[in-house]
Amino acid sequence: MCAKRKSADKKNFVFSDEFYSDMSAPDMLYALPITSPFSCGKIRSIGFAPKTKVPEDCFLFTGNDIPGEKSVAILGTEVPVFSCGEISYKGEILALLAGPDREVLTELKNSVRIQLDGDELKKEETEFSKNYNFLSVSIDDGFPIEQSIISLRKTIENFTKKREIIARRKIVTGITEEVFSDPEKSAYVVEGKWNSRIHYKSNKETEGCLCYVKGGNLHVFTPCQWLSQLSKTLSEVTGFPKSKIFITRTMVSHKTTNALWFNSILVSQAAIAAIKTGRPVKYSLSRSSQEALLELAPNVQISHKTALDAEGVITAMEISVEFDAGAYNPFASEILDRLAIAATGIYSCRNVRVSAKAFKSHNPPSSLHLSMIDSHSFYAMENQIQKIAAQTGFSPVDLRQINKAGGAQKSTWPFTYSFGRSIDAINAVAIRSDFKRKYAVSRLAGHSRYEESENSPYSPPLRGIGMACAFDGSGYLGTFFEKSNISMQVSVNEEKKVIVHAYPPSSSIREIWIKIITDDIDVDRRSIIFTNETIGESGLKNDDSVIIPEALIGTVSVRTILLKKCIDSLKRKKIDGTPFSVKKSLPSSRKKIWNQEEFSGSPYYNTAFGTCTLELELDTCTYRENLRKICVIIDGGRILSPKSAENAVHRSIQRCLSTLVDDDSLKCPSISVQFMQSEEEPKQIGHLVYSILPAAYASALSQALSVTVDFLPLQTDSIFKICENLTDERKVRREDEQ
Amino acid sequence: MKIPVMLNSEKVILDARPTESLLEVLRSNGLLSVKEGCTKGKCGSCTVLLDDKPVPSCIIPVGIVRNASIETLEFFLLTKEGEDIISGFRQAGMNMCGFCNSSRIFSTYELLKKSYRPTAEELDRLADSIKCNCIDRKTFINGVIYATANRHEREGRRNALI
Repeated sequence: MCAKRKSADKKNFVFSDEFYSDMSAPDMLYALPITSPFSCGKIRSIGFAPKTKVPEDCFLFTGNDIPGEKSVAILGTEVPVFSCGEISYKGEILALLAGPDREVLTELKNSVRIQLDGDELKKEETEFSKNYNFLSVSIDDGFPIEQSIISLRKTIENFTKKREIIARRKIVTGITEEVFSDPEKSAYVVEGKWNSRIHYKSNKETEGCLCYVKGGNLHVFTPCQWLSQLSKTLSEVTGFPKSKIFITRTMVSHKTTNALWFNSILVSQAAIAAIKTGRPVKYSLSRSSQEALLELAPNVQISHKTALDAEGVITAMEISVEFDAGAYNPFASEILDRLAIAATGIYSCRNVRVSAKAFKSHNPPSSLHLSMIDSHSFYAMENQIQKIAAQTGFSPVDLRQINKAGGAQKSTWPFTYSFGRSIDAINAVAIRSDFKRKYAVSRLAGHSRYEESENSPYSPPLRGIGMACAFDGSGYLGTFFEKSNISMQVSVNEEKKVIVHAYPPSSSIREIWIKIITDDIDVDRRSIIFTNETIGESGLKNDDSVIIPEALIGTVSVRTILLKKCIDSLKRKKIDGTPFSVKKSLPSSRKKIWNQEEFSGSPYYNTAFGTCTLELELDTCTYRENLRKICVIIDGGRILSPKSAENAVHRSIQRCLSTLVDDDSLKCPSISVQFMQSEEEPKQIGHLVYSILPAAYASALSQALSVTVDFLPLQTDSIFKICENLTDERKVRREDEQ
Repeated sequence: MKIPVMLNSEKVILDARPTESLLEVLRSNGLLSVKEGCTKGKCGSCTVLLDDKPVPSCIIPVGIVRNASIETLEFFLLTKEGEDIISGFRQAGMNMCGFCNSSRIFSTYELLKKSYRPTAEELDRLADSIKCNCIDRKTFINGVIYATANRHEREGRRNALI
C-alpha cells in the first residue's frame, strides 16, 4: 500500500542542476548516430558490411526497430524518428549504433553500409535523359553507386526540380506598382538585397540524453526545453504510456530552435536502444553533428525596393522574403509570419507589398532562433535605410524620424505597435554619439575616394558610423498564443516561504523576479522558491495537450507583469503561516487585439524600442575593423532592476559581437547603454541588441569601405577580399579611361 | 599503459592508452569539472592545472603527463587560492554557466600568481581570453578584482580595492 502511494506521488517531471553528460549508470551503453552522407536517395537497407566482426554487446538500431510510431507530428509537421525511406538531408540520422566502448563504436561505425535503391535512380536517370542530353554521370560507368547518386541527384535537383514552397505570406496595402511608375512619388528608387546567416555558436554540452528502463518505467535525463512534446513523442514512439515516462530536465546549454524539437527525436532514438537492450543508454551528439543539425546558420534573403519622394518620405516599399526552411521545419510558417510582420521595421508607408516564402530543400532543418526571428527583418530594413541615405543624401536620422510609424504619413499597414518615445530615443542616441557630424565627415571622406585619389583607395583614415532602430515584441499573439494559457501563480506555505510556480528563463530575470517580490513583501530572498509544479510545463492536466514553449511566443515580460499583479494581491494579505495561493492570467481582452485569420491588429502584447549607433575604423594594414564606440538607448518601460538589465544588455552586446565575424569575436572599448525613464509597464528588452547591432555594424562598415556590405557574418578575410575586388575594378576602369 | 601522476595532490597511476586525451582520462576517473567543449583547445571548458599552469586537457595526450602534477577544480576549490577566487566571483554576482568555470577560475589564478595587483590592461587581456559569453566582461573583471582583494586580505597585505 505504502509503495503504491510512493509511486503515485512520484513526479513525471523533475528539474536538475546537473549536466546529463556528467551522469552515468552501471552497465551503461554508449550510442553513436549513423548519419546520411548524401542529401537525397532512397534507402534499401542499412547494416554491417559482410565479414564485419560485430562484438556481442554492440547493436545497430534502425527504423525497423521502432516499437511504436515511426514518425511523430510536431506542430503538424511529420518528422521521422529514423529515416527509413527517402533521405531528406545530408547528416540525417538513419540508425543508432550502441555498445559499451566508445572507441570500438567509432571503429565499428566505418563498417556500417547504407545501400541505396539503384532502380529508383535508374528511373530518374531515364526521366532525366529524356529532357537533358548532357548527363555527366551514369550508374553504369563504373563509379561506386553512392558517387553516381550524389552527382546525378544534384544535377537533377539543379535542373529539373522546382523549389517547393511550404509556407507563404503576402501582405499588400495601397497601390505599390502605380507609385513606382509615378515619377513624382518615386523621385528616388533604391534597391537592396540583404543576406543574414548570423547564428550563435557555443562550445557547451552537445544535445543528448541518458535513459533507461526500470520497473516498467522509462527514465530520461536530458536538457529538454519542451517537456510536453518530449513526453508525447516518447509515448508515441516507444508505446509507453505517459504516466510511465519519467523525465529529468538537466541543465540546458542550447536554446536554439532546432534543439527545442530535435531533442525529442534524439531521446526517442536512445529510448528505443534502451528498451531493446534493457540497459542504460547514453547518447551524445558529436560537436560536428551538433553544429550541422542544431546550430547551423539560417538562410534568409530579403530584397527591398523602396521609393521616396523629394522630401524623403517613403512612398512605396516592395519586400521579398525568402527563407530556406530545410527538409522539414515545424516552425516554418510561424517564422515566416514573424519575418513578414517585422519586414517594414519601425517604418510606416501607405503602399507596401510584402511577399514572404519558405522553401523546402535538401538542407538540414533551418535553425532560425525563435526569440530573434525579427532581427533578420530589421537587419535588412535598417541597412536599406542606410543605403537610401547614402544614395540620396538625406540624413539617416532625419529619414528615420520622417518615416517612423506614427510620423509624417498615416499608415495603412495592418499592424499596430506602440514605440513609446522613439523620436526622443533616436535624437538622444544621435546626440550622444555625435552621429550627424561623424556621418557627414565619413561620407565626405569616402565620396571621391576612387575617382580623385592617386594613392591607394584604402589609405587611412577609413571611418564609418552606422545607426539602427528596432522593436522587441513580447507575447506574440499569433497562432499558438491561445493554446499557451499564460498565467502566474504565487503561493505561501506553512513555513512562510513564497513559492513562484514558474521557472525564470535566465539569471537576470530571476534577479528581477526576486526584486519584485522582496520590494513589496517582507520576505528574505532565501525564502523564495521557484518551481514548475502545478502550472506550466508540468501541469499536463489534459494528457493530450502539448504546451507551447515559452521561446515561441516570448512571454517573459508578460509573466513579469502577471507576477507583479500576484505580488500586489499578496501584499494585502498577512503572511502568518496560513497557506494560500494567488493566480493571475492574461485578460482575454488583450488576446482580442490580434486577428490571426485576417492577419492584422497588434501582434505583440507589448513592444520595447531600441536604437544604437556603432562607430568603427578600418586598419588598412591588417584589413580588419576596430570598433570605436557603441551607443545603445532603450525605451523598455519601467526598468525593474536597472543593474540586471544593464548587465543583460552588455552580455547581449558581447554575444552579438561574437557572431558578426566567423571564428572571431569583435570587441569594443567603449560601450554606452542607457535606458529611458518610463512609468509604462515593463517590457522585454533581452533580444533588442540582436536586431540593431548587426545592421549598425554593416552600415558603418559599408560607409567606411564605400561599398555596400550586404551579408553577415563576415569571414576574417572578407574586408581584404572586398578591397581587393575594388582595387582590381579601379585598375580596369583606369585602363579603360586611358 | 600505466602512467603515474600526482592527481589532485594524490599519487595515482592512470591506466590509459597514451594517445587518449587527458580530458577523457580525467572524466573517466570521475573528475567531471573537466568539461568537453570544442575539443580543439580553444574554448577552455577542459582547463586543468598541469604543473601549476592552466592547459586545455582535450589536446594533451595522456602519454606525456607522466610524473606531472594535475589539479582539477574539484581539488583546487578547496585550496585557499581557490576559495579567494570563487568567493570573489560570488561577491561580484557572477553566475557561471558550468562549462566555463575551470577556464575562468584557472585563468584568474594564473593572473593573480603573476601579478600582485593586476592592471587594467591585464584584466582586459584576461577577459579577452575567455571565450564563453555567459557573463559580461565588466562583471567578470569585477569578480577578479574582488578575488584579488580576498587574496590580499587573507595574506594580510594592502587591499587591492583601497
